[in-house]
Amino acid sequence: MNMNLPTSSGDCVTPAPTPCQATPQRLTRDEVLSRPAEERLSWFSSITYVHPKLLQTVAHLQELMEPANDIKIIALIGPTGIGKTTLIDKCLHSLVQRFAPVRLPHEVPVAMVAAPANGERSLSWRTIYRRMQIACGGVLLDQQRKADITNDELAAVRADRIGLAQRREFLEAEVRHRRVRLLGIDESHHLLRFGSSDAMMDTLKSLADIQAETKLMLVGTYQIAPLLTTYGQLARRSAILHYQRYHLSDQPKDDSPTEDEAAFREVLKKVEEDWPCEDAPNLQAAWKFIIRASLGSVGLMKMQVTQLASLQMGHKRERVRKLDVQRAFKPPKMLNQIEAEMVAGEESLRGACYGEADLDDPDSAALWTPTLEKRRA
Amino acid sequence: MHDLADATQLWSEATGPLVAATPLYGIPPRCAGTGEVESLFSHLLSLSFAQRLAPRQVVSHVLPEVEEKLGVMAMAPRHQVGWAWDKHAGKQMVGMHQSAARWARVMEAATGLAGLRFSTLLPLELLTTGNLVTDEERVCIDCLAADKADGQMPYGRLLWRLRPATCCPLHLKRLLVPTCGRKGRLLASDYGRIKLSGVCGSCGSIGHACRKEKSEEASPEEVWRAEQCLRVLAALPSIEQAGPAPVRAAVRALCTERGAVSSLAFRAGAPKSVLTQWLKHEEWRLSFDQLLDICAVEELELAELLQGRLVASSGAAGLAPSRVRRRRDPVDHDAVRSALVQALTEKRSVTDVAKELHVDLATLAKHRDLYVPVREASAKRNAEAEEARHLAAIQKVETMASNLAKRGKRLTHRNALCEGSYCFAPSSVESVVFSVMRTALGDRRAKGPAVAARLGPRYLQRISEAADRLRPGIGQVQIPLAFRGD
Repeated sequence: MNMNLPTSSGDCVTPAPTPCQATPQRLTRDEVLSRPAEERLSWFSSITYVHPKLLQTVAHLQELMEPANDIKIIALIGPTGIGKTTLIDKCLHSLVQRFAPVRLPHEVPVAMVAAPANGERSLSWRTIYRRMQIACGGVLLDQQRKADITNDELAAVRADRIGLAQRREFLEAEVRHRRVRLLGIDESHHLLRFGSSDAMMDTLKSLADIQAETKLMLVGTYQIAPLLTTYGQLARRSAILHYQRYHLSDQPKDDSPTEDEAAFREVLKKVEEDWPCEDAPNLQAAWKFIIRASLGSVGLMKMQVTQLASLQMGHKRERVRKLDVQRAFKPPKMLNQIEAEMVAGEESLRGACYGEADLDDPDSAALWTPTLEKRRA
Repeated sequence: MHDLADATQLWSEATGPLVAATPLYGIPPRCAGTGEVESLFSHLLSLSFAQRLAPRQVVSHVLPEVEEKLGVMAMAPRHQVGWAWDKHAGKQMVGMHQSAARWARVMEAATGLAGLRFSTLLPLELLTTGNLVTDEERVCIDCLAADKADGQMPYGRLLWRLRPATCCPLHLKRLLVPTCGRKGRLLASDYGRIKLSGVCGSCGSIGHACRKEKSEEASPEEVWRAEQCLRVLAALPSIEQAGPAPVRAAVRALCTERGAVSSLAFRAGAPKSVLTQWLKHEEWRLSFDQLLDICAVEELELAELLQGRLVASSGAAGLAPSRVRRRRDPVDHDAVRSALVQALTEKRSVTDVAKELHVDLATLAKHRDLYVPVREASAKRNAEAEEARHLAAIQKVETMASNLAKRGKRLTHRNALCEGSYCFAPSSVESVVFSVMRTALGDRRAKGPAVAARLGPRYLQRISEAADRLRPGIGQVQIPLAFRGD
């Protein structure tokens, strides 16, 4: 398929930033509508919508990525399907580039891997190290060999296979030589299959300590939060970044929406404007249903409306039918399960995230209240 | 504090994943930009070591892919870049010719570094000529010890590969070709060896502490020449930028100041015609040694001369040119005649006579009445020796085959090797005879070596006769050899 999909560096430059806007895209909706269904759907699904919660997460991420701070482990946590991976794929390199604008050709500023879920009963660090090495640009991994110096004599160590310690050593060399500034593990909740949490936390800590300028990023669902909050040594040097969903108030009103509701409706408006069929459904009118059906997650909403568009395109005149809506959106039982996990996760994170310091103590106000002398000055 | 507008801008600027990094680390050559710059060969070994890979793996698997991506394969020689890479300790990699340029270009693409050509002699390509690079790696033990003392692995300097530099200008000692002095302490297997400049390839001793040789003190002349080489290497970028024209202009100015070209040629031990032609023609180049001799006798700095400047060198007073002009003595034809007569009686060849008298074969051939008989006698002697060698080989193989037949064993190379005293290499005459004899004895699985096709009919007939004698004992049907048709 040879089509111009929307890209971040497209010709069409977006206007001044607004709370909700689509990413720059090469084709407009009018241009796309004359194309085959497959291309239209591909174009639609590739659009990423920017919204306040996303921007807030990016802003916090930017603060945490400052090389000067002592935060070595950043955990990006959020509900399933909210768009954590999309976020890091899109802007992590740009974030790192801000702090290290000059990049030499052999350097790999960001190395992201996905923690394996390959059916093994326990997690294999060897697999993770190997994936990390590949992400860092390592070549001919199976041909690598360890060298030892004994009595001023250098010799390669003979081994039938590369052991865990050796693989780790190779990874450390790779991280140092490639000047990796961010080592990330996506789907890091898979790490929980590791037998001993203590051993895992020690390993994570040592990964972050490979060199001073390297930070470790864990991306995953709420399950990984206890790893960082349970161990004091890690809590000292880590920060949890909560990528939150939008909340629907108890009695939502069309004319006076809350801040979350207004932001979500803005996204829906944009989605409607980009709808890949002539006949666009009235998403804005059904905002309360959609926000409930997607549990306030823009990612989940995007996934469901894309499915709706796909079903709509299957019909002759491309009209939205009741049956399509029934199929595109999640059934209540599944939604309830997802919501229950989200609520439990949000509860467990309360008071543990970045930007949630306790300011109930009246003495803390002195930090931001100017003194009398300063006021006079 | 980063606000939402800033985050929005970042999001809009986001470019997604970056382009892939180069396959090799961008570790620059040690002491780049100085006279002690690491050679490209040593740099390749050091890089491979840093990547925890054997250099052979890098050369065979990484660099060919990089070269293919560069898209210069069509212009490159037929073989891929790794071909014979470590022959003569990577001589072609550090020289000043096309192969060095190719290596530098591929290594630059593989590491993302620029200026790797200054780890070779490529910048001198348009200025000088001659066999400048040694066939082996030489080292200064003191420099290696200094590297070790600094807590670093030793490395091979480009200076040590430069043939005119015979000593270390820093430690004033002659360079050594290190050989391992620890006999019987070789590493258990080839796997254990790590190929790295400054590390013994046999026992792995860092800094060649295992060597037996002791480095000798260098003479002042050697030191001066090594210093000149050191300064030339340090100034390689400037020399390349200056190009060949300023050198000629400087030498012309020198001739104007201190006498004509012939005078300079006389002092520097150079042929006048060579110097004159070099000054006339832009494409001509002088050898590095010749330029060094000019600087020695004129007390000049070579690095400055190569940039077109005449700067006095302090330590060059009283140095003589190292190159001696070739002298031609007239040939003593009476001595040639008597030597040829003597060669007939003493069974010597014309080559021996030519070597002894320091004349060429054409000079000997002028005395045809003696030259031809000497050659014919030599040819006859050689033919007899060859025949004796063949007969001995057939006899040896026949005895061995007979022994095998007595023990009820088949005639195979493996069984022949088990005989013990009849070990032979596949390329030996005995091995060829053995293969042909197997065919003659009816073994259809035997594969005759290619060399067998060159055996003459007499030779084949003798093998066939030997097979005839062996056949009753072996009991196979004989296959006639094709010697009768020849």
